[in-house]
Amino acid sequence: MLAHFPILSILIWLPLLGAVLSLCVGGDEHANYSRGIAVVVSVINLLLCIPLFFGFDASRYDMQFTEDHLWVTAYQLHYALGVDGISLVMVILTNFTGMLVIFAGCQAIKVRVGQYMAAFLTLQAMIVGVFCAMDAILFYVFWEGMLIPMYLSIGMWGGSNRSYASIKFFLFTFLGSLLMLIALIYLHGQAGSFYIQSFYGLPLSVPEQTWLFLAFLLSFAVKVPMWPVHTWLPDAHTEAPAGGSVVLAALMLKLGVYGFLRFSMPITPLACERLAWVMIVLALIAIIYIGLVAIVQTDMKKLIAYSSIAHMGFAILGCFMVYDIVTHVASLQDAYMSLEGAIIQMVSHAFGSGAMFLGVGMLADRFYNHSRLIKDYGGVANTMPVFAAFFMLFAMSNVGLPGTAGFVGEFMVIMSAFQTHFWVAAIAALTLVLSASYTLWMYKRVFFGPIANEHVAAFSDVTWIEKSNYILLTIGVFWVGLYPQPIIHVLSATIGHLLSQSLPTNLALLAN
Amino acid sequence: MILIPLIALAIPSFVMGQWLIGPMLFAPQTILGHTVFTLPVHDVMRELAHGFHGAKLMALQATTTGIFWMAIGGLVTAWLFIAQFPAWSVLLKKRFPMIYDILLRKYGFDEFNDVVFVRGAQETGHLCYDVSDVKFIDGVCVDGSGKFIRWFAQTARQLQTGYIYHYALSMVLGLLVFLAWYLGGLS
Repeated sequence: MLAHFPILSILIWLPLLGAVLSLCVGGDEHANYSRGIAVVVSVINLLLCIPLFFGFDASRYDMQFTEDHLWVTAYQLHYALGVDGISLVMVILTNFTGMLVIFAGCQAIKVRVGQYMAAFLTLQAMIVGVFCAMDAILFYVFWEGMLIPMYLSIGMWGGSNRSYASIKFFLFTFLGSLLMLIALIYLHGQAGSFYIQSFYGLPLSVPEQTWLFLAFLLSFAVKVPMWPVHTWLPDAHTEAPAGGSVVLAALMLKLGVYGFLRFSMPITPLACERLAWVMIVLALIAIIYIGLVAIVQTDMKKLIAYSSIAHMGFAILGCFMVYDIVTHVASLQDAYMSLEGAIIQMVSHAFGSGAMFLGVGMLADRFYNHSRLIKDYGGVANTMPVFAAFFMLFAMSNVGLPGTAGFVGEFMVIMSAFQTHFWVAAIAALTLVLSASYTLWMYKRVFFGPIANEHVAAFSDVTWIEKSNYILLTIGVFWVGLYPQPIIHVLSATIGHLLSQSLPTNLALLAN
Repeated sequence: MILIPLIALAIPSFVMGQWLIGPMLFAPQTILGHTVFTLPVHDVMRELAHGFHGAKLMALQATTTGIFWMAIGGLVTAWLFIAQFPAWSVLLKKRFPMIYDILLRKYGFDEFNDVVFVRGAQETGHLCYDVSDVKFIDGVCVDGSGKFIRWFAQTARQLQTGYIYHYALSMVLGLLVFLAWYLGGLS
C-alpha cells in the first residue's frame, strides 16, 4: 500500500506548506498560531516516519518508496526520490530533531516567531530532500536550498557577531558546493543522465576519479567539517540561536559524511582507495587537534562545536578505514563494522551534541545578558538540579561512556581500525581522554561549586517543554547506547551494497 | 546511622567468598560458564582446582604464606602508629622528612600529571587555537583572502580615471601587445 503513497514527498512538502502558513498568519500578535502550525506539522512528519520505518524492507539494498517524475524536460532533470537504509535512518533523525527544535523554539523565541518557525520548517524540508534525492541536480537544489534558512536564522536570531558568522557560514559552504556542481555536470556528460545511480560504475580513469574526488572532498569536507576548513562551524554555532545550533550539529554536519557515502565512495572508488590515507590523517587531526582546541575554549557553545568536529572525525575515520581493512585483513565483516560505526556515530552525535546545545541555550536564555561564557556560571546544579542531571547524561554520552549512545559508534570504529593499524586505533582512542577532559571540566565549572552570582541564583529549573525534549533525547541516548540493533539491521543490506560499489574490484574479490 | 550499612556490608564481605568460590570457580559446571577462559597450555584454573579443598581449608592454608603475615604486619603497624603510639608518626616525620614528603606527594605523580598532561594539553590547545585557527586559518586564509580582494579592487579602481584618452591609450597598447604576440607566433 505504501509503495504508491508519496510519503517522501509529503515529508518534504508538508513542512514547506507549514512554513508558508506560518508566515501567512501574521506578525507576533498571532505568534501562537505560528507555533501551533509548526508543532502540528513537525509531529505529523515524525508520525509519518513510523510507517516509513516499518514499511521499509531491510533485506533490500535498493531505493524504496521511490517517486519519479520528469521535472525539466530539456535537461532530463527528474524529481526522483527514494530511501535506502542510510537515508532512512537520516530522514527519521531529521524529523525527530526538527520536532525538538520546533518545541524548543516555541518557548525560547519571542520575536518574529512566524519567520522563525518558517525558517526551521523549510530547513527540515530541505534536509529531508537531500537525504531522499535520487537525481543529482535535485540533490544540489536541496543542498543549496538549506543554506538560505540557516543563513537567515543565524542572521536574524543570532548573537552580537551574527553578521560575520552568517556570511562566513554561507561563503564557506557555498564555495565548496560549486565544485560539487562542476563534478555533477561532468558526471552527467559521462553518464548521459543526472540519476545518481547512473554515476555508479562509470568507467572513469584514475585521474578523472581523482579530480572528481577532490571536487567532492572540498564540498563535503566543508560541511563535515574537516580540518582545515572547519573554522566556520564554531562561529556559526556561537552566533546561531539554540535551534540553529541543534540543526547544525545534529543534521547539517551529517550531510558531509552522507555526501562521501552517496557520491565519493561509490563513484570514485579507485581515488578513494588511493587517497584513503589522506582522509584518515585528516580525521585523526580532527580528533586530536580539535580535541585540544576544545579544551581551551571559554565559550560553552564553541566548546561543544569543536567537540562536534572531533566526533565527526570518527565518522570520517570509519568511512575511509574500510579500504585499509579490506586490503590488510581481507575481511568484509570488519569493513561492515567500520561503516556501521561511522553511521551510528552520526546518529549518536546528533542526540548528544543536540541535547548539549539545547542545554546551553536554556542556560543562556535564563542569564540576564544571554552569556555563554563558562566563567559567568558556577553552581548551576544547586538551582537547576533536574537540568544538571539531564546535562550530565548527555555530557557522558559526549564522552563516550558505555551504555550511552556516544560509546557505540566510537567503539565500533576503534575496534575495526584496530584490525589493521594499532596506532591509528590508539590515536583515535585518545578522543575518549580528550573529550572527557573538556566535557567534564566544563561541567564541573558550570554546574558544581558554589553559586557564582545572583543571576545564577535566580535560575529556575527546566519547564515542562524543556523536560519533554530532554526525556525524548534521553530515550534516544539510551536506545542507541543499549540496543542499537534496529539501526544496524536497517543499515546492513545497504552497507553491504555500498561496500561492493565502493571497493575497487580487486579488493572486493579479495574480501570475498 | 552509618553503622547499619557498614554492618550490612561487613557480613556478606565475610561470608560471600566462602559460599561462592566453589560454584563460581571450581564446580564441574561453574556459574560463570565459559567467561573465565584460559588457554589449555596456561590452564591456571585447573591447577588451582587441584589444590582447592574447600573455603575453610583455603583460609587456614593462607596462614602458612608470607603474604598473609605481611598483611597482618601492615594492620599491626597501622594500629601501633595511629591508635597506640601516634607520637611515633610525628617522630618518624621529623627524622625522615624527605621520605615523608615523597610519600605524602604520592611519589609526585599528581604534580607530574598536572604539569605534563593538564598544562601540556592546555598549552598545546592554546597554540593550536590562537596560532593555527585564529591567526593562520581565519586571519591569513579567510580574512586575508577578503582583504586581498578589497585591495585588488581598490587598486584596479585607480585605472578608472574617467578620461577617454586614457581608455583609448589602453586600447592602443592592448592592440599593440596582441599584434606583437600574433606576429611573434607567425614568425
